[in-house]
This record gives sequence, C-alpha cells and structure tokens, in this order.
Amino acid sequence: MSSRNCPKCQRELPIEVLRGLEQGVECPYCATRLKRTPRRASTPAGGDQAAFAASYTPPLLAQPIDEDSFGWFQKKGAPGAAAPSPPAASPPTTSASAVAPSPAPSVVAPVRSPFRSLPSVAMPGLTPPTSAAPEPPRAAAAPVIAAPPVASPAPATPAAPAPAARTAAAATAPTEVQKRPSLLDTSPPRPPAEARRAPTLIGTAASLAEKPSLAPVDKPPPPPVEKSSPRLADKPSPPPVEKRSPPPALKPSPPAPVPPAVVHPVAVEPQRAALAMTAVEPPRAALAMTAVIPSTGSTLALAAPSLGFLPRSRRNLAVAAGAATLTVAVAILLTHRSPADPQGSVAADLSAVPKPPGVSAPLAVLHETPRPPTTLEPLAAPAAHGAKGAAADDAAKAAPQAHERVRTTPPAAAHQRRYAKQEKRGKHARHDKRNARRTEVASRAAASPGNDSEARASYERGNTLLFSGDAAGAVTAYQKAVALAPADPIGYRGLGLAHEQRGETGAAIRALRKYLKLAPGAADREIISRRIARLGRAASQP
Amino acid sequence: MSSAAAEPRTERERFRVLSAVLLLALGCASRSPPPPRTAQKAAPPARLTWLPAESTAGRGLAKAVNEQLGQVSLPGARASVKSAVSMEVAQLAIECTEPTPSCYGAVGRSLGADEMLWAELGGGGSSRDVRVALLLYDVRAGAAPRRVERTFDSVDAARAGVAALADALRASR
Repeated sequence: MSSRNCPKCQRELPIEVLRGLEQGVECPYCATRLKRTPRRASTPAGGDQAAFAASYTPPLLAQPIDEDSFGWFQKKGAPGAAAPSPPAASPPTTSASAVAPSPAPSVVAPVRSPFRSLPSVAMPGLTPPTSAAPEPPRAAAAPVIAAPPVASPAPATPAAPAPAARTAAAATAPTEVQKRPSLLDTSPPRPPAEARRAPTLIGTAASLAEKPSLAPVDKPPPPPVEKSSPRLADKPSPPPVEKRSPPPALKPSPPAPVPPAVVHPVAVEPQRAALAMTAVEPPRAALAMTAVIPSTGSTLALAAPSLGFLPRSRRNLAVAAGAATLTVAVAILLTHRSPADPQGSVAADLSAVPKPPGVSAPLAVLHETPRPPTTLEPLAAPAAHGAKGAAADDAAKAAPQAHERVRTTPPAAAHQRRYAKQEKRGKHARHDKRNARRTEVASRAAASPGNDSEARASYERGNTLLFSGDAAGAVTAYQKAVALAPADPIGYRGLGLAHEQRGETGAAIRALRKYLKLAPGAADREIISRRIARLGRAASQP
Repeated sequence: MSSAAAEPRTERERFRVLSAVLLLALGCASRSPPPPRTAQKAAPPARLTWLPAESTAGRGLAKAVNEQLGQVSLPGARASVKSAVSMEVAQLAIECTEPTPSCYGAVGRSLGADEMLWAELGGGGSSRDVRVALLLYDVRAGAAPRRVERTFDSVDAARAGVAALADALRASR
C-alpha cells in the first residue's frame, strides 16, 4: 500500500492533506483522522533488521512527493537496511524461511495498541481474502501486512494474516489471540518500552511479535520484501498466529505501483528478539511519519483522563492525597462554627429589650439592675408567668422578641447541649421560678398605670411632710400612695421611714420588709436591710 | 382794625408754640443725671441646715455629735436649722442614695437649705474605734462637700473630740 493512501479507504490522499498530516487532518474521502506521529525505531539502524515494518508511514515532508517511501527509507532512514528486493523474492532470502520453518512465518503479528480499550478496526479494503488459495507471486514471500496502531485488538476479531500465511496458518499450530483487557479491568502488565514507544502503525520486531491479537491490515499492493537479520534467524520460530475465524471476504487487491515498504520478518519471540536487539546496540531514535487513526478509546482517554486514572505512580498518589486533604479541609471549614456567637449575640439582644412602659422609678431601677431578666433567658419558659394587665402584656411582647432573637441565632451546638443538659438536671428550675416571681412583681407594679401618677404625687407630698417634720401627715400621704399603687414598693418605703420618725418601730419594720419583698433587687436594698436590723435592735432594747 | 389786632395775636401764639417745641427738644436732648447710687443689697445669709446623725455607733455619741452640730455657726450664714430627717432618710426618700454632689444637692433643695452640715458615724479599724466625719456641703455651689474626719479610740473620746472637729470644719471654710 502506498504511504500516500488513506489507511482506511485506500485512496490516495491529496498533497494538501499529506502536508497537513503533521497537524492532523482528515481523509477527504472517508473523514478518517490522519496524523503523522514520530516513531522511535527500536532496532539498530544499521542492522539488517528492518526497523520499519509494513507501514503507512509517508515520507512526505522529508522526501519529494514523487519519491516513494521505500526508496526514501532506503536512502535516509536506514542506511543499513536491506535493499529493495524484487517483488518475487525467493523464499530463501526471506526472513520467514530463515527464521522458522513454519510455512507462513511472515504473518505480521498485530501491534498492541497503546489504548487498551480500543476496539479493533476492521478496514474494509484491507481485510484478507477468504479464499484459501495463495497468490502465486506472493506466496513465497510474506506479504506486507500492516496493523494500524490505533486499532486495538478485539477479542472476536481475528488477525488478518497474509494470504500466504493464512493458508499456512490454517495447517500449522495456531496462535492464540489474546483478549485485551478493558479499561475497567486490572491494569495489564506493561509492555516493553520498545513496544510502547511508537503508537504508530509501525511495529517493531518485538512489538510485532508481542502483540499477536491486533487486527492486521492487509497491505496488498506492495510486493513483499523481506529482510531478516541473522540474529533473528537464530531465534526459534515464533508461534504461528492462530486463525480462529476466517476473515470475511478479503479480496486480493492488486499490487500497488508504489514500491513496498520494508517488510519486517515478524513472528519472532518478543522477549528474545528485544533482548537480542538491545544487546547489540541501543535503540536509536528515528522519526517515522505515521498516520494515526484515532478512535473512541483514544478520545476518551484524552478527554477524560480521570477515567483512566490509576494510582500506579507516586505522583498520582500524591495528587489523590492532596485532593482528599483539600476536601476534608473545606468540609471542616464549612461545618465549623465559631463558639463566640451565642453569648455575644444574646447579650446584645438582651440589651435591646425595651423597658415596659408605665414602670415607676424603682422599677426602672430594678430593670437596670444587672440580673438576668426572665425574658432574656435563652430558650427558657415563656415570660408570661401570670402576667396581668397592660404592662404585663408589654413585658410579654418584649419577651417573645428576645426569644425570637435568641432562637433565630444559628444553633451553637456546644452551649445548647450544655444548657439542655443542665436543664435536664433541673438546674434551671430555681432560676425559672425566681424569674417568674420577678416577672409577677413587675406585672403587679405596673398593674394600674392610671393611678401611678396620683400615687407618685402622694409620695412626693409625703416626702415634703416628712422633711418638714410632719411625720403623721407623711404617714397619711404614704398610705394613700400605697393604696393607689399597691404594687409599687416606694410607698411602703416612705411609710416605713415615716413610722420610724414617729417612733413606731414595728410598723416601720413591717413597711420596710414589705418594700424589700416587692423590690428584692432594689439599689437601696442594703441600706434598708441595715435600717431594719437597727430598728430591730432598738426595739429589742428596753 | 380787627385784622391788625389778630395778626400780632397769631404771631404771639406761633412764638409760644415754637418756644415750647424748642424747650421740649432741649429737654429731650439733654442727658439726665445718673441716679444716685444706692448701697448694694447684701446677699442674704445662707440658710444653714444641719441634719442630725442617727444613733448607729451609740446613742451617746450621736447625741454629742448632734449637740455640736447645732452649735456650729458659719460666717455669712444664718443660725443653723435642724432638719427633721437625717441625711440617710432624706436620701432614701428622694431615691438618691449615692454619696455624690448631685444627690446632696437634691437633698438640699428638698430641705430648702443653702448649706448642709451633717455627720457620718462609723466604726474604725478595731471594734472600739469610732470614726466621726463632719461634712459641709454648699448647695448653691454644687461642689464636693468639705469634710473633716477623725477616728477616736472610744465613744467617750469621740464625744469629747467632736467640738474640735467642728472647729476644724469651721476653720476650713
């Protein structure tokens, strides 16, 4: 087959397409993507072993268009390569006859594709003929059979041997066509480096011998020219390729006018051949222009590398560990919450609770005393413990606001769990009871907001009378204030002071105690208590 | 004949009007002499009110202190007047129990006093020690009260030393 032809449709490619092969073009006839890729030769350049097997390599850019690839390879690619043999090369000159006594040793072993899951591509025009009749001119020499590199071997697709090989292979021991593992399978043993270097249609001697399951591509036109190395001749004959199923309707194509490419004597045991070749001389890099037919597998492997991610290398493991660490860190940051939110926000909300209107000055003092109000307890019982009257309603209105603010705060797991635990143990029962009592006092103090001004006026009048020395009048005034606002403790305080001025110690003590009962958190609680004690001592003394 | 007699009459009237206007203008233009300076009214004497001490440390001491407080006379002040209530009762009544000038001022305004004098009795470092402090507060000035304080070994010593303490307070004024 000519290197200028499309490997799929076998049509000759235009010059423009050939020139663009390096960048990747499509076949204008069958839309097959073609690309020229460099290839590293694994065989010694100067050896007799031809480094290039049956190939589609078009020596396009390096040689003139009108020059054939074979000649170009001969001149430049492999100086020590065998000269082009005539198409009807005699069998003794072929490597097939030298290497193995097998009747069809020149069956080209398929090249293993670098992409594991690639199905084999059966080229329509390249399938070998089904007829078992060998071609007379090509029977002696093994025909050139090329296998596209991208055509991954399919289990059901048999290798397409050459016509001569096919007839021989049918009679000789078959070679198993191994099934290629899929992408989801365990990673297969890595092929030798020489075999993996060139993802091209060209296979080296080792790779060709190693990959027997690749669907071969028949290259009918070029006459078979074989060149076998003496080293390879010493090797045992490769196992013949089994032909499990006859290739369907392979028509013998007429020989192409283009001189054939170098035919590699295939079917050499892969490892031995590789060892032999590497022992002689290390492989030298050589570029071969090869058309690559991309397939779905390769596209998948390129587009979604994660699908083919296997933690086989240290770098991959490091990347995976880093990704896992980053994910965990982000999760921690998202789920973590600052523990400073509950107390600060609640305290800020508590300060925003308004005072209930209509509360007298002592009650205002009570509100200003630094004690936890009932309505400000987070998630405590509702503040309407027996609330009565409008002031109680106001207090109850203020309390739910505080509760709502507390509840609208984001849940702080730590402090809420602690609070729930303490609540379960009953530690907050006394606190709630005390708050309920305070709320009741506050509600009673604000029970009659209409009489509060009159009570206040009576209290002021009692003060004036008390300062002027009219203790009796002061007692009367204070009693009136108490009557007008029985929940207001200031009347009792004034009444106690007035009774004290009059020398009525018992009444003074009772009034002052009543004041302390109504205003347990008053600012002057200490002074009143001390006064009560002094009055008690005075009363006890004769 | 009648017209000739009328003309000098009208001229005479004009002359009179003009002279009256001229005199009036001169009178308005002239500066009145300053009124004779009268003697400035002397500021009324301050109403000094002393507030009795309550018997916290002992009746004898409180009584002695109150006697001395009643005898205190300050220059420029009237004779002191005893308040019906103590400073503590007054503060409790007006709901301002803080020992601040504002609360003292409120008490003074409630009592109608310009100056207040009172005593604070308390215990000293030991159980027998008696601390006696005399305070004088000017309600009109609103400044901090002037204070003299002394600790005595016993109630008797305090009772005897209150007079000297009052003299010290008077001298400090």
